[in-house]
Amino acid sequence: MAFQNQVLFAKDSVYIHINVQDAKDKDAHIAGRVFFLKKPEGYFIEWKAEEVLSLETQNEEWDVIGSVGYKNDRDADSVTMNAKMDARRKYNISFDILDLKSFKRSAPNHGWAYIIFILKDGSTFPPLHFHNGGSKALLKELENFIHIRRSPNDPRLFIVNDHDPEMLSKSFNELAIFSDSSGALVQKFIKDPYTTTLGGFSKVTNFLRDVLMTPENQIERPQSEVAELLQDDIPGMEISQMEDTGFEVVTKTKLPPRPSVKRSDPLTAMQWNAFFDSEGRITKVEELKDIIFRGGLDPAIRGDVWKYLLNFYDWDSTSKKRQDQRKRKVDDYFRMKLQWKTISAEQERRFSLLKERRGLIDKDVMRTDRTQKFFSGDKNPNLQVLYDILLTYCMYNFDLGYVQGMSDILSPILVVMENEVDAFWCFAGAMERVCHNFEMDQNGMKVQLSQIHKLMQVYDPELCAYLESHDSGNFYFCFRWILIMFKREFHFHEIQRLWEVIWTDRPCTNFHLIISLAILDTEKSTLMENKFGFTEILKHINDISLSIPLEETLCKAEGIFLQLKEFKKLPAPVKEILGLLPLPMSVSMENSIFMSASSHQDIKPENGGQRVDTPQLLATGGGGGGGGGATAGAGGLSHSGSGTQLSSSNSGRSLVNSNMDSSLEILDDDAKIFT
Amino acid sequence: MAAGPYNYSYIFKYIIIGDMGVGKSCLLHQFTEKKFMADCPHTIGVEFGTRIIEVASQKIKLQIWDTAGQERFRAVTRSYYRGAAGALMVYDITRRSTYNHLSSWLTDARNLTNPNTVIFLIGNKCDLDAQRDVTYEEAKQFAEENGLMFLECSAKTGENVEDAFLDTAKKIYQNIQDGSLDLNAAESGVQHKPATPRNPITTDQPPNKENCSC
Repeated sequence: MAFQNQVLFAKDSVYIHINVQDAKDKDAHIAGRVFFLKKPEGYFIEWKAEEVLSLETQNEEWDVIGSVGYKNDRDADSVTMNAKMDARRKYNISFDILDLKSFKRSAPNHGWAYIIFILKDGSTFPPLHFHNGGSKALLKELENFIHIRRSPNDPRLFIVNDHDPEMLSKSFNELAIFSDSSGALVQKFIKDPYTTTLGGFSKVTNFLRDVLMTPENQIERPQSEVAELLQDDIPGMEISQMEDTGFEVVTKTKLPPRPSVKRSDPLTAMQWNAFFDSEGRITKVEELKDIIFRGGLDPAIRGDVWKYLLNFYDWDSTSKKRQDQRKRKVDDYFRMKLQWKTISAEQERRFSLLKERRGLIDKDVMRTDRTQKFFSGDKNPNLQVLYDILLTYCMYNFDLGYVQGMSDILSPILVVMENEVDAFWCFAGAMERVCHNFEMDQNGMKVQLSQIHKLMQVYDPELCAYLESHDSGNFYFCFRWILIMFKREFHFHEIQRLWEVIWTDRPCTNFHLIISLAILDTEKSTLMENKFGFTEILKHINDISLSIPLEETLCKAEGIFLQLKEFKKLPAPVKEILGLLPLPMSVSMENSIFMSASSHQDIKPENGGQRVDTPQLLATGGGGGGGGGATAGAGGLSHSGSGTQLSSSNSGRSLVNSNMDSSLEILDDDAKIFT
Repeated sequence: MAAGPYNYSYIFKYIIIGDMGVGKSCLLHQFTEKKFMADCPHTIGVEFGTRIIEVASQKIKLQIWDTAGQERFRAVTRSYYRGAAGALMVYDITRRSTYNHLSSWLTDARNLTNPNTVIFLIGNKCDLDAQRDVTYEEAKQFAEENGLMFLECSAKTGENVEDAFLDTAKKIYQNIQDGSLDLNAAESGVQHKPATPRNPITTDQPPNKENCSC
């Protein structure tokens, strides 16, 4: 064959770690093989899943040349189903090394080495984990074809030197430093002289950086330095010293040094039970929240504790009161559910808004977390529960209705609660915190994105100026993070941990914005040294989803908060965002939206009833209405049936247990009219 | 060793717009992966797909921006139109409301891109002919009246999907050749890359199926 692929390097036992709920699941890691290939059209790095390879390689003949061969250790009789193959295949990686912009290596004290490849257009591949070594050898091979230098700011980051004749001319184009029309600039200057001037200066800086960093001006790095990256243990690059580079930035902005922060173990069932007094009231609520903030919850008690975090129960309630609360919530839920269940097809023809919402929910339910076992498979009954809760929420909050993203918020809650009514009310509680994100005018989103901007201006003016001068000062690239509280950025089990930490409202108001700063801080060198522009920033931030280390990020975020808090010259607007002002009586409308009452518990601890009063609202509605009696009956049935509540009775992980069925039978008769 | 810094000659930016649930992400997925993904999660903000194609023996990298469809997210998605060389405007042939909203999508596309942006109208889900709610003829007429290219496609079966993406690229390439698209304009949506093939380009190469990095 004239145009065979030549294998210059190949290595087995290179894994991609994928999103699965159970980390022990054997599917959590996809085994694969990494190749460095010479193809007719260029030099390629590829990664293929073992299972895909075992079928595909039968038809391909690859010449193995060079010293590094590979052992044929594939399981000959491994039978894989097509669906699984497709799922595997979608992780396949293949790129021309001419597209390679940079790569990130794992920290030296990380168990095994991993490499994250980043392309010129901002595409970022999932980390390739070399469980059996080989990363060094691959990079060494690569080094024969491209020039690599280490980032001066991030020891894990390596940049490919690109001999691109375009680069210099591009830099000169950017010499149009103040590209805004002069009139607009003057306007901006009058409004905000500080930012406008610095913004302009930052463009100068960026221009200089671009020119200074073009290959033409690049002093050839000593061979020894490049050799360094080929060693598994990079000398002098311990984690603690990596943080030293962080201190440099800190000195520049005169923030106090970032204290090291430790996370703890999750709250256990035993600890949790010890918090209750004889009447079933939780004692020492603040201490409890501190523990949850510091370590999250053991999955076994997650469903119980979330009910408090999400305002289903009051923190100071007795067992007796909770029984009443729950009964009322069950009744209220089924009353609202009955409201839409009893709308006939005839009625719906003249109720286009409801019809439209049904359509939207129907579409999104079919494509929400279908890779999770809980929602996978055809005709999975849990999809119906998702649908019912979302449509009932439309009756609960008709003005808001259904907006894309809500199903993402509900899905992890439903998985934890395993009960329709509990999931609905916890979802309503979670929505209370984020409903401004979904409003028609999107003001809530705009406010938060501008708050990230304000925080960044103080925390890291350099990165802030860079983003501004690369059309990214609006922080739209963080949109998905904020809209659904990082739901798509972390693995499913991690998002449950993250949310319970955020729901403690510690250590400050709007901690999720600080988490955004922490993630951006980690990506800073990648964004700036690769000289990413608007598109590449957006693409890179999109692509790092599911590879952001949660606990590390939480530590960093808390550290950043402590730095800001200790900063003597912290501007008042930033204090306001973080809830650090004594009593924000005259808070501007803009900021007040996100200072939900619950978040001021640092100031007024133990004030239980200050959260938005969903239960009370419902209580007043509970008894009224002609159909209420029948519904209450149905609800009561369900209540007693699902009294055991949690995971102890989760046979088959389907929510539609027999009790639920019987309670819904009454409703289903009505429902048949229009299905 | 490699001589040229890029393995393609041009980058074209596309944007896919249209109501939620019309199949924007599925069209993209079908084009880049040649697969139908029924449970593809709904897009929040924007997602990207890329594929290298060949037009007039030039390698062109398509960088495709796939946007969220719900009305209230338009404020954000509008910021992604800038510099698109091609806009794929999608409706669902089984839902008239998605067709009725086209004029509003078209207004955005016209206002937020440059005058040379090629706008391609796609009537998706043509495999569901039995549930058809919008006729081919009326959509064709709408397209003609507004100077749009038009095809009915199916992201599920793959019918016409390739053509929609490729025809758009051909039209853009034609605009470059006849000089109506100025590559030096700030937001033409096209970047010319000085590709210097390292090896003679072969004609018997299979299509570039593995260049998706979305």
